[in-house]
Amino acid sequence: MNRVLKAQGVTKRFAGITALDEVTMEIDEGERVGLIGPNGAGKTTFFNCLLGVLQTDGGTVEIAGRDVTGAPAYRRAKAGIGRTFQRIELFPDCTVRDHLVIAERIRRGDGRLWKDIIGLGRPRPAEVARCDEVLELLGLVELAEEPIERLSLGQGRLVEVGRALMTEPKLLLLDEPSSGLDRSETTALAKTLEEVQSTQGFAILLVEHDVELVTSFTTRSYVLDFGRLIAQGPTREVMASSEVRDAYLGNFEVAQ
Amino acid sequence: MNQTSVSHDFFQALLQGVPPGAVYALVALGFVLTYKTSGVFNLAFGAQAYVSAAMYFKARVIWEWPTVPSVILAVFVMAPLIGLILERLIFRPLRTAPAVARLVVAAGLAVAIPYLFDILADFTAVAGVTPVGVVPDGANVFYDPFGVYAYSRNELVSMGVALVAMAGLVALFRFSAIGVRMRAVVESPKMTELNGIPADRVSALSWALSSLFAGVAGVLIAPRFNTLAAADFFSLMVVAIAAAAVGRLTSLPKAMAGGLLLGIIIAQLNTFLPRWSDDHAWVSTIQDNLTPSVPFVVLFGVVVLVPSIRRSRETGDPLAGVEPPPPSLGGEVRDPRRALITRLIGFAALGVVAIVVLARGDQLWVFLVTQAVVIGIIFLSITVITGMAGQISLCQGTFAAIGAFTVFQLVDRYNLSVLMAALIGAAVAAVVGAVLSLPIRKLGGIWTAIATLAFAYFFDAVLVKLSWIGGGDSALLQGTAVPRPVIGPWDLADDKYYLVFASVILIVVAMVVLQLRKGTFGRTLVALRGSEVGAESIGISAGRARLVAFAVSAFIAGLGGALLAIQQENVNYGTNFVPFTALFWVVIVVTLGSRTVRGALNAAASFAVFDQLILKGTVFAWILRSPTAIPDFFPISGKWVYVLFGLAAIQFARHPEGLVERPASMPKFITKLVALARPATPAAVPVAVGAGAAGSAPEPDTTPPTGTSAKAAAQPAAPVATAEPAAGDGSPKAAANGGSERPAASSPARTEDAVS
Repeated sequence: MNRVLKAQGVTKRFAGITALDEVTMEIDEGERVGLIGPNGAGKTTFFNCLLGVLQTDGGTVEIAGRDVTGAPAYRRAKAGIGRTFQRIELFPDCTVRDHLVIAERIRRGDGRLWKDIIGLGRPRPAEVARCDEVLELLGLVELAEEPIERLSLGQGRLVEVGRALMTEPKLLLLDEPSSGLDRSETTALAKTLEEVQSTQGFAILLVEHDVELVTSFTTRSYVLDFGRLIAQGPTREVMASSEVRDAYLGNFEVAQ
Repeated sequence: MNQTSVSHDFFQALLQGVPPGAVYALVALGFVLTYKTSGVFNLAFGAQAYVSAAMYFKARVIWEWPTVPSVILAVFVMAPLIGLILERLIFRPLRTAPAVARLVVAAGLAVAIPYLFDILADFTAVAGVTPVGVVPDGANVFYDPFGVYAYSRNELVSMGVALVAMAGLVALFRFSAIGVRMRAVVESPKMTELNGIPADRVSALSWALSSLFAGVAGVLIAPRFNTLAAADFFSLMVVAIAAAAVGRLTSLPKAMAGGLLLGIIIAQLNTFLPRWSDDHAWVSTIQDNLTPSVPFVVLFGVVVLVPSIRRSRETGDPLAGVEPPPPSLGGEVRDPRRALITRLIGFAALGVVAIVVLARGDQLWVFLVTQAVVIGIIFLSITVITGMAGQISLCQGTFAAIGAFTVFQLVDRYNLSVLMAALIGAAVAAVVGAVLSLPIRKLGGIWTAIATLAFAYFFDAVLVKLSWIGGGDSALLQGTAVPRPVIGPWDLADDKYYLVFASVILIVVAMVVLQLRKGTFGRTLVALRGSEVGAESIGISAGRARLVAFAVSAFIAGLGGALLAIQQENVNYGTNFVPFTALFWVVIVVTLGSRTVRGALNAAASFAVFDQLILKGTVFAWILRSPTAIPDFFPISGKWVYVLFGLAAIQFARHPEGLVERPASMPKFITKLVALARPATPAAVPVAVGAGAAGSAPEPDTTPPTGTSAKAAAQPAAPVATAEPAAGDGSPKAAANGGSERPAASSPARTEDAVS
């Protein structure tokens, strides 16, 4: 089993507040892992530290065996992290397919300036075919030519997933994918993700408030509270543990 | 030099630095005031100051009014009135537009306002006539409080006014309710209105006040200049922006201190810089040029090195999410058949123009069309950096000048082949562009514009004067001549051959830009423009992409600059490449469409032939087939070019794709006319400008500019706003607050903002 993520002792401080205190996490190939915790627990901070949006104050991050501590976000993307955003970050002037084509081109890394100049920069049939495969997988084929303004939020999230898949990630980070979606949309999204993941074999780290989604979707979970890991293990056990219930599920008001 | 004389000199330089420092402070205060109370980075502030100064001059000297009524007219009536007009007609509808869009609008106004005033008031500054000051005998009566340095009355009054103004403004913001309201309206007009404060009235008051300030500053600083010229007021304003940047553009006392400090540092440097050696010319050149560069170095340094300045105005309006996003590109997804037809007609018309001009061989027209072609190359560099990369660069004139000067130097010194020199010039410009982009590529938004403006002025104030760049003193005597090359059997000294040559280069560059836009490079930039984090999440390096964009753009500008110098057989830096001219380039390209190659070409055609064709009425002579048939109405002042295109930039905020590419919001017959005439070099101009004048007024836009295409407008868009429940509380608010102007589709990202 290959280790796709190895974060050790990740620490982050903001002006005296320790937002992350020595968080350690390991994820293997093909796993589906959840990261839960009350508001302000440091989930998003941890996410941003993994992605290189924030620089850590301590600890190391390895992606697929490569040390990326201190590397900028785009390097980590190339090392194998794909992600979606809680607030959708799509490209307004592009169609759905364009999103995937760009990602594919960047992954292959052969977008040289001189190739553009002599006219080799346009989407090649092979690239388009590859993108359409993924669109098919996500059920977005009919929308391929649509500008993203006309998509629903749920469809927008799927486009983000598709864009991330084109980078052939080893680890896909999903940042609260259920926010803004209703129950049926969430279920549909989870189902699509499961199908895609089972065919492609990447690992997923899911940051989520929706306990139901985490329980049904992930096999293993980590629980953060006040920047510290307070529990980890199989999701059902974690959810059942009293410590987690106190911090998060049962006594929500107290945790706030 | 003994101890006492050092301290004497120091003290003297200190006192000497205060008056110019007070002038910088005065302008900086006004600038900060505008920024604080309107959120607009008002590049037109210098223009407003110019108008009051010129009005005063007109009333006092030409009409021979007494001082007091002249001041009342110029400062207390004109200045606030302009402010109110700007607020009501231009900036109020743009209150929620992106900062960059408002910056472009302000840049357009910076160009348009002085010329509009000149035309309406029939004002022409006489070169060398020093503007009179407000203070009686201001320049002739001196006071010497410390027995070290004598202040003129003018200087004392400026210093006093700056001090009083700062104290008054600080008190206004700290202690009065209206001051707090002014700031609140900038942060979030909607939120302010929800609190029961009439945002419109507060914002009108803010503009009246800050414009009054521009008037005061204008009248007080006018006596510093030899001639009343809008460009001088503009560059003084850039110096003042450096002072304002010291106070992060928001602190009035720090802006004041920044201004004084600049004045004093410059005076001290002038006094104490050691005269190392007069034997080595280059040492003394550096010494001579160190001090003028100070403000621009400070401005560049602050913008690049102080990250908090960039965040000072980035605080988002908490209710921004209820506003629909700005419309997106119209040109790219428009009906392909229409595009093809217009393109074919365009090429045909271009061909006809070329053949007619070449066949008739009319010298003036060959010159003008060549000018259009060469300027078109330079303008394509703006298409790359602004249209594709989404960065406002105000130093394209500098890149072009680097190309031109390189040709001049290489040919002059090393007798290199002119064409080879032009290519090297473009390459040098590309390298400069790449190096310049290193510190500024992460800035984004208005900060890129400011940093590039500082660089342009640095080049203008310092580098041009160096003998190994601009030719130095020898250039003043001998000029900066550039010869025409000979290619095989064709001697390009013949203007007709040069026109053909330049056209070939233009076509090649245009093809390259088109290819780049469709290739990986263009797509990467589109992604970055859409969402930087999104782009980085798939492995795009924003820094690298912007570096390449700057290099490519600078290469094209450098090539164009070199060709312009070769065409004119002289660099002519002062008329071709100064920052104010380059500012107008950006304005005109952005107005006519920075996102498309055609927009740049239309802009170039307009820039080169508008004056001759329309304002001089030649077009009538053509149509009526008689050179004497030009109506008496013509010629119209050439200043209208600046006014019309400057004002037309206003529509950029709503239609970033440019005037000609605007999809459905134009009246049908204009759309048709434009479609018919578009790329035809001279013929496209009148139509475009007619639409421009119309576009500058607040338009009763009935068609929702969904911003994408005729297709998008035809089908009822299914925006996310209606697709999800949470947006339900977003859209009514938008409607209630005048958002109904743009009931466009909301992007998912924005709607999310409203939700969370």
